[in-house]
Amino acid sequence: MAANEQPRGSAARALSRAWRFVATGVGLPAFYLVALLAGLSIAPYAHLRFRNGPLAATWLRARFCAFYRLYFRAIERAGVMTYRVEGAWRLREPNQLVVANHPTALDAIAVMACTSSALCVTKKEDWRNPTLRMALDASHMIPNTGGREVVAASVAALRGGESLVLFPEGTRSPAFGKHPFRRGAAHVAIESRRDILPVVITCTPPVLGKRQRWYRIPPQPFELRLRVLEPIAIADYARDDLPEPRAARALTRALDELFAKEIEQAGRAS
Amino acid sequence: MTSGGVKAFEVVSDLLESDFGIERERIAPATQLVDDLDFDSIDVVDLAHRLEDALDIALPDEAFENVASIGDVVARVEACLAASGSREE
Repeated sequence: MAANEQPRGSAARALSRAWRFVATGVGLPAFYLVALLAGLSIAPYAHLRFRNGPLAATWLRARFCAFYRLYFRAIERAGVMTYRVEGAWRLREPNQLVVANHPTALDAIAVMACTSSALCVTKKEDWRNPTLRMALDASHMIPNTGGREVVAASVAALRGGESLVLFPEGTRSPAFGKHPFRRGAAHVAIESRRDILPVVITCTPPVLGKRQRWYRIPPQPFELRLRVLEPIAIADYARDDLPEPRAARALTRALDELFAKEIEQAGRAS
Repeated sequence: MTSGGVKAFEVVSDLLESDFGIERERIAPATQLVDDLDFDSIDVVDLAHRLEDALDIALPDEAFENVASIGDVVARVEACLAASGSREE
């Protein structure tokens, strides 16, 4: 009997993997399709309804965040992944500056799914993607054009009462680690005088990383886990007697150390 | 280095030390901004603004395009100082 169990287990595992291959193959393009349809339908509707005012983008972002929640529920139900968030209540508070590491392609929507409405600085390539561009534009997401321009747009968004999600690595993290943080997020925090809400994202086993193909389906469903940590008080860094470049370097070092420690601990635990 | 260059180098060094927290011994004309001092595009803009305030000059927008080393920064500031000096004469 024991001899029979192993083949049955293997067959079940192969079937599970095949199913997850199909579900992933449908789920990823479905996201882009919905983004395209949203860009063509509810985005123009929102701008018509709110007469092109800023409320249109806020209304749209709230709908998108609700859609992300549904999306994760659906791919969890399909058995592709598990999605866990510790401390989600902190992300639901308005006007947060969220800083996260970036192990997978799902991170931005995974964080925004926990918020009622949030902006994100998105890579330039997404703005050249015809399926995403209209939705990004209509919801006033911030393109990562680099430098002071992005900092100014981010600070303006925070001062306008929005929540903002930043990924200071600038690209997806290497498996089981992180790239050094760039200092843009620190400048945004210091200039807007907003505390930072750190979110440590881990994916076990690593999937949907920078050079990982979606069709490399792991042996078991992957787990995407978000840990929302205690906010980092900005008052120690945003001081009149501390020049901003110096403060940004110190804050970025502190963020780097915190995330490196948390990612290492999470890796050991998993 | 001309006297204007010496002055510019001193001001750049002072700013890098006080505002960017860079140790004096790491500052030399050949020091590379990106590779040695971990500068990014925001730092370059901030350095330019702080130099304008410290020296009471107006650097053209393109003045710090393609600067690679502290020597390059000093040369651009020196050129701006020379231009503003000749205008005053």
